[in-house]
Amino acid sequence: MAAKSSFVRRIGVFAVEVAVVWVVGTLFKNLLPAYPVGVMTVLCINAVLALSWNLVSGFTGQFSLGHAGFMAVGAYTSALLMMKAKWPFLPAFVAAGLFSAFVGFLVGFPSLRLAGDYLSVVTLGFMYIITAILNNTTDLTGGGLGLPGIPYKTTLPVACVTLVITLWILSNLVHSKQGRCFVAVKEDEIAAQSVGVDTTHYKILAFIISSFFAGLGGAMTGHYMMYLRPDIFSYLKTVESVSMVILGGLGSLTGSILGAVFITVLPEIFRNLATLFGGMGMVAAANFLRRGWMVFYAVMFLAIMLARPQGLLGRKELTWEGVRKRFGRFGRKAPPTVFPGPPDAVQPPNSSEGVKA
Amino acid sequence: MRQLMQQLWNGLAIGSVYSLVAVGYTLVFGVLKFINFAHGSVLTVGAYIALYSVLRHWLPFPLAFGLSLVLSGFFAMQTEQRAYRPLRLKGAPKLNLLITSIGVSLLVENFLVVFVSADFQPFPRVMSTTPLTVAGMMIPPNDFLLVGTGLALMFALSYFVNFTLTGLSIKAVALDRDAAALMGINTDKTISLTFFIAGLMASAAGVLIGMKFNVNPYLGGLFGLKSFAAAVVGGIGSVQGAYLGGYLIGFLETLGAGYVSSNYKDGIAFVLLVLVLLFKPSGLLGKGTQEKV
Repeated sequence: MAAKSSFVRRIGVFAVEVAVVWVVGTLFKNLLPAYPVGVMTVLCINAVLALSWNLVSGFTGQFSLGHAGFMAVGAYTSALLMMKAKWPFLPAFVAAGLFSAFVGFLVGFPSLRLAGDYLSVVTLGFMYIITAILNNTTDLTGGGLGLPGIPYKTTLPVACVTLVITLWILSNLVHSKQGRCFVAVKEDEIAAQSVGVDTTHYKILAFIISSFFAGLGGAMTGHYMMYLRPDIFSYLKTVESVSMVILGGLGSLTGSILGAVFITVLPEIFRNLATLFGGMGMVAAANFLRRGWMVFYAVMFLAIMLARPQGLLGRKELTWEGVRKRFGRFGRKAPPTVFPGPPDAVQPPNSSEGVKA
Repeated sequence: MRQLMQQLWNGLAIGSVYSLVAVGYTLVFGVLKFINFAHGSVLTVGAYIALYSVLRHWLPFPLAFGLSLVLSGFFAMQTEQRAYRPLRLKGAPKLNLLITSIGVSLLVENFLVVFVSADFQPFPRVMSTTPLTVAGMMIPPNDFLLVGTGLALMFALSYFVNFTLTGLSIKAVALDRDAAALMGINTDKTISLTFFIAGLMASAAGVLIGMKFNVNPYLGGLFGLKSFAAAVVGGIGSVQGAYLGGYLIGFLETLGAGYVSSNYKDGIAFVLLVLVLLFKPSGLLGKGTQEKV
């Protein structure tokens, strides 16, 4: 009984959270100017993509480089279902995730039997195959010229709520038995096998779930930009998600969101500074800043890997409890931000009220 | 028949490029057991060095080619010493090396876009472009250089690795790094040397395809990945395998483009890769290894 009531309570808390985020998102959308709303929407989409990559690579240790391929599958599925089959948004959106998960199963089933590095190559290969297919099915997808006229559906509340749902599902997942098996596969595959973890099963499971959310993220991208082209979903799109995750910390859900914030907001800061300097007549500085982001991004990527490979948060999660403990009382020595416990353990399930957005 | 001959020749030419780059992947994988995603960017760097040396009339083409080989070799060596070695000494997981190499390639691409030029630049004319007719095939002179360089470097490399003491030390380090160190081999030096050779061969490929097509910051991206597919198809860690995979992908790609559809040209290498990995994960010439506890 106790477990059941706690389950009901958690569902209730979650429903309240979703409602609050929806209301806040709608308020922001109506009150703020279009530019910050746009940045926040992109931020939520990026966070979903980073979270989905983090599940398969940060938690399960399978380095997938074909993530952009799954985004493309999701984006085109949702867009085409709405445009050609006249589906409403929500079913098309969910179908995009499911179809992407199915493709993830098709890709993962053969390739996850391969060890480590080969997986990244096979997934990368699949991404190129998917791009080639999209480029050549001109009648359906518009090919390399792109697919214009996708209905605009990814408003700020939609993106926020998707992010909250993604975060809720993933944080429950990684704190469950399955989640511990994912981490076990990452930590030591042979040891995990020897204690009875079916490693291939869990790798494929993680891959499918990750593809599902990548598909959702892709679908949101399509319904935000209202236009799709196969080369949007290139290798660099995957690298973008990778950089968000390594910045925040491989294996930290809130870290992925933090990373998404940095990687989405920093280029906007650079761009605005460039415009500012340009307006003040400092053309050279403006040009430098305008182009400087790309080099800065690459240097930051390398600097993190060399100086702090665990990312900003490592495997810790940002939680209200942690923040309160660290900053709650002035002048007191900060206790550790995470729950005490075995060093690699994930947190107890009832602490899932982390920073949600 | 004539068309087939022509396609086969084209396959040989592009296959030489893939094998030159694939050998680099295989050598580096041999000694460090990780996929160097930055290898493709060494190819780009090589092409740019040769391009600018010729474009600005600093050097005549043969010298520019030589300079590009040596400098790219040093560049590859520097990436190893600055980026991978600190991680290796810290005992970081292999995944971190892989991610770092992605960062290196990102840095090279973005640096070239921002500080050099993002344009697609044609290589200045350094040799005749009129195709020669050999046995009914139209062959641009550049292709002779491509195939010739590919074969020459292939023989030079196999002589070096199999018959010189320094070359043998690479083999020894690939076989067992600790045992090699105990036998008095300076493993750090050997690893640097491996990167130098890999960079040199990639840069040869880069200059030659830069001449065949054009030079741009993303030159190494797709070529690098397809060459990597070639290395895995042949069996990563095996030098002969890299050549086999490179020429195989070159032939299949041109034949596929010629007889099936040129639209799917870029996909062929990866389809082959997936098929080979499914049926023989260690590659065509690779030896299967069982991971031990």
